[in-house]
Amino acid sequence: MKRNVVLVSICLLTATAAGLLAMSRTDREVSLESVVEIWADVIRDMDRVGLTITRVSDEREMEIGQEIDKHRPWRLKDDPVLQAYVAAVGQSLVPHVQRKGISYRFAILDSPMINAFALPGGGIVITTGMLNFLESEAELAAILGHEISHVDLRHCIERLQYELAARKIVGRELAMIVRIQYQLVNLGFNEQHELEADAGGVILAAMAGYDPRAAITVFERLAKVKRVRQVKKPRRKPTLMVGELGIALEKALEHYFATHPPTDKRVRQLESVINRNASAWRGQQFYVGRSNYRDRIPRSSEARPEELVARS
Amino acid sequence: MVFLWFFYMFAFFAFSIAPLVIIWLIWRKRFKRLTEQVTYLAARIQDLEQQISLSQAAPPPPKPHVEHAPQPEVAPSVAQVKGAEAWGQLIAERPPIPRIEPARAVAEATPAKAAPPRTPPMPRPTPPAAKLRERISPNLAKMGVDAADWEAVIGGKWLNKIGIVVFVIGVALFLGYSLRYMGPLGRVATGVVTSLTLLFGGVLLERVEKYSLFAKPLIGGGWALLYFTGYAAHNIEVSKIIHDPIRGIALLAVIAGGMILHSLKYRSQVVTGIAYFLGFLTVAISPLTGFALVASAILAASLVAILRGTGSSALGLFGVAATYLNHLLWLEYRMGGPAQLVHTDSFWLAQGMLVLYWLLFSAFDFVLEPGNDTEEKIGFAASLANTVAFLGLSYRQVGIVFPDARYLLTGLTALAYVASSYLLRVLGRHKYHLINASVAVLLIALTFPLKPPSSPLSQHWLAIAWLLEAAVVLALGSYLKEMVFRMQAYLLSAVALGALFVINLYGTPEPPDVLRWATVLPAIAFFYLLLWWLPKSLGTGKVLKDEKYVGPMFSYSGSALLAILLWKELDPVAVALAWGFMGLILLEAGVRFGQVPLRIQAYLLSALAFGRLFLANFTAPGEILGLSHRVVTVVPIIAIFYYLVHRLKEEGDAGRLAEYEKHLPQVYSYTAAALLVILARFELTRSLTVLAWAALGFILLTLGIILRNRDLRIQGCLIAILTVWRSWSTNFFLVGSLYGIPERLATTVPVIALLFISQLLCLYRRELFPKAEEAQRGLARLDANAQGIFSILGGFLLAILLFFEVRGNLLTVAWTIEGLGLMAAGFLLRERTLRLSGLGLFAVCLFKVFVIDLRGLETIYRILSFILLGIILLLVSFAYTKYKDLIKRYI
Repeated sequence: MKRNVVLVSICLLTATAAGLLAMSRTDREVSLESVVEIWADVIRDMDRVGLTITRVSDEREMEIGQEIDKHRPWRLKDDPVLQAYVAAVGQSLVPHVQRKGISYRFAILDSPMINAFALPGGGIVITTGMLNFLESEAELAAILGHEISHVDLRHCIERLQYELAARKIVGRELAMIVRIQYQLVNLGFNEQHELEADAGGVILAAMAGYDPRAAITVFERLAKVKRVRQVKKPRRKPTLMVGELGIALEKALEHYFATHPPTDKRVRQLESVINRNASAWRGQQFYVGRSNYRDRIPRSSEARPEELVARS
Repeated sequence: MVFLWFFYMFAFFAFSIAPLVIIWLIWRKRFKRLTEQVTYLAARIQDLEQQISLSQAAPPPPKPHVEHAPQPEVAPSVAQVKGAEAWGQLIAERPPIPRIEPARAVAEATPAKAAPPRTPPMPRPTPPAAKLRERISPNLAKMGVDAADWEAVIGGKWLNKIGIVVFVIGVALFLGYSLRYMGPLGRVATGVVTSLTLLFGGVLLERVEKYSLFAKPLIGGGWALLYFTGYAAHNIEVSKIIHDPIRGIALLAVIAGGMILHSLKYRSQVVTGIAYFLGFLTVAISPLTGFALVASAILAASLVAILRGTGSSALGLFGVAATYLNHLLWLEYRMGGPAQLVHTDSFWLAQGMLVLYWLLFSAFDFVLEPGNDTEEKIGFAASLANTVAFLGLSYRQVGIVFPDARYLLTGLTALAYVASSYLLRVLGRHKYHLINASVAVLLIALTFPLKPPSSPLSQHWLAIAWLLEAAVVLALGSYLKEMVFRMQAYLLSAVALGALFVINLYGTPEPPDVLRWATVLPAIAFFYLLLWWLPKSLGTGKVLKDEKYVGPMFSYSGSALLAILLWKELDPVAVALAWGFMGLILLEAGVRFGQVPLRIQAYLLSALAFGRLFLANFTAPGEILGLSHRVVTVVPIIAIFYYLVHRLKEEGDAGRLAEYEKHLPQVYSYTAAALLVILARFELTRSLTVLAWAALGFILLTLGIILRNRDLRIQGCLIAILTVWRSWSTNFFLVGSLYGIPERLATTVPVIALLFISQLLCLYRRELFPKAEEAQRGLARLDANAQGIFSILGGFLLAILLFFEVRGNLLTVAWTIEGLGLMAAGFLLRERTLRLSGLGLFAVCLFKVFVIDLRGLETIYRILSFILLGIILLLVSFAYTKYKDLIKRYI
């Protein structure tokens, strides 16, 4: 009797689930993204031991950063005003980082590409293309906060830790193999690093008083640009189950080698971060800084009351 | 014209050679025996002649009494006459032949004298014929050929038959040849006279035994020529003396009647065979009109009557082939192809004739009485040839004139076969009944695909139609205990299954959803029904060796169909749920009805559902009523898996599971736990996952203790380990806040608390856990050491938290206090692992103060660390000393 009750309950539960699904159709292709994410989780968790053992001190990381600076191949923008503006915004975030031993430096790369990147030891580079794309100081803070978080969370130096350790043991050439292998393996959690950096950047920007929602705005605008530039692949409907598996595998590989997660995922994650921190930020006013950005005058030099917004 | 002559020559050779081959196949052994007998007789006669000539030349030596004359006297003279080894061997192997008593003649010739003693015979001169045979015998012997037999066979048997065939064809051609000086009456009279001459001549010669073999072909040829003359009297223009077709037919019927009666009187296959062979041949080589078809039909009808009396299946087969061939020739060459039937009335004549032929030859099934297996097989071949020829020609005709009516033709033919099959069964002609029934089944099946395009039923209903037919045939097979019908039903079902895949599921264009469901679901129900019904219906009748696997195979097909149907019709996120539910129903049915195949299908489907979750559900976006699609679809599957655990465990305890099924409850239990872990990971994002995992691990441990379920406890341990590892790799690096609390603390402190609570729980119910020495294998060791594991994990995580929160100057102090806490708890709870954890932490602190603090810390903190650590170590040591005996008891 008890068994029948349980069975009927499960049937009702399944029927309810089916009914709910029928009310909302999803239009989504299958993919093995979940497998890629679980794999990345596993690698990341297992990696913790090795990364702890091969941990590089802040000082050593600074040395490496300076070494990279000396040999940089790119050309910096020669615009002192813009340079000072970016540095001012960036430096307003630095007091809120965890690793106080890193000294952050900001540079502008003269390139039309919409991009920014971080280097071990605190080097933050942003392109002129990105600067032209952004519309407010809060957005700039979000981007710089994202890149600072990469350094603060050791994403940059961890990519080199194994190679540095291997150099001491097997020499420079063989150590390069270690680096390549490691980078291939941790391609899977590129996405995790990006999401962590998104979250870290938003929190840094909010701690510095900038509007945390600016990050969502800039990512959504970036996604629109990407959609316009990309030719959308027609959705393929497989005839056989095996065909569906093939498509899922193809998508999983694309996902594995992608440098950034999909925008909708980033936006969802940011919404979640903002919600989790909402109680801490309740009642606080945040700075947007559109006019500051336009005029290239940082908030630290001229705070404009009309640029303040309240986020509930 | 040239083509016509080529055709005539081809027909001549075909019609002349084929019957000869058939007759040779049947009569070759008989020929051989007859040949041996004749050979022996010839040799015997010769030997006697020699003896007579010798006895006339010299006084014969005294011979013993004739009754005691030994047989070997004959043998040496036969061997001398033959001469070659092959001959001697042939006679030595011959069957015993009744001895002619030559000695009586000798005794009568010389009655007064006493028989002299026997002496070896003197060498006798070899006669010329024997010399010739002796000369050629070795060569023939090398070839393995019997020289005397061949000569006799060719000369005595075949030449007369070939001769009569050639002669009759010649006369038939004459009757069709236009001569200036001979009118139709003259030609007909010539034909009649010739045929009567052959007939009567044959009849007269047949009375003389010596010419009996020679005479029979004459009789056959005579009848054939008479029949053809009657046919030519109406149908061939230059010989036409009868203008009324009814009279023409009547005349043919009369002649055919005569053929029947005469054949039945003689019961000679030679006579009948030649008569009918020539009859059909002559009709074929004449101008083929509708009347020619009638003539063929009359011949065929008469053949049926003859076969009833003689049982010659080969004649029947020949008759079928010849009749339909005539019709084909008429259709293609006389009419110029079936397209010519479109605007004429000839179509109905042609089709009517085909039906008549079919009816006539179908009568073979009712009248043939084969004498042996070969005759029986030829009879079956004739029956099938009738079907194939009838349908082939009918399709050819109907396909052009009424292309949409082919299904009707097939259906009506099928019904006719159903009727004949029933009648044959009633009459007790079992094998023919089976053949007719099988043909009926095949034709009914063919009817469905031939339906016209305008039919309201689309091709998607084909499979259903075939399954309905299969059901009826299967029911018949069960009721009548006929294995053949059951096999046909299985075959039909397999074909229907193929159609379902090719047309209903994967056909283009795709059918509407409703139609797909409406056609596939009944098929699935049928396949499941077979699983249940077949074992009951097989009963005690004859069954195939592996017939018991048919039901399960079809049930697998049904499940595969349903799984694919669900995959095609449902949203991607709903497929896993559907498969999981299907697995549940199948398992329940398999358990309740004792059907192992259903259980296996359930396991397969649940595995597929599990895999499918990774494809479409865990990363599915969207939500409904505040619940993500992920939760809505994964939670029911987890519930199903837990139900399967419970159900299979019940069955296992009752001893109703197979060996390979006994570990499945465990598998499902661990799988369900894994799904919960993964669901939490995707539902809550990486940083908050540890909270859910810690709670899950605690719940599983608690349930494992309450339900005394070792697997749940082990799962709790494993999840705890996973939680700690994730916390270490992720949560200690979080910088945000969670509802006002720093995220690091908000996520790790509850985890640590739950770990210690779990440890207390294990301590409280320690009697449920096995002793460490009892646990032999991997996971069982986890259960035995659960308490210690939770303790270590909790202590470790707390130490890490302190490292991140307190780091720097006061870390050693913090760790020392933690160590003290662990020691105190260890003493209080009498838990050794806690005490050991505390000692371990003290060891780490010792290492730190001497290696790191001594160099790196500020002086005041360094001093504080050393003093505090020293005091605590002393306290602990004191405690160990004071409670030494108690501790020994604890250990």
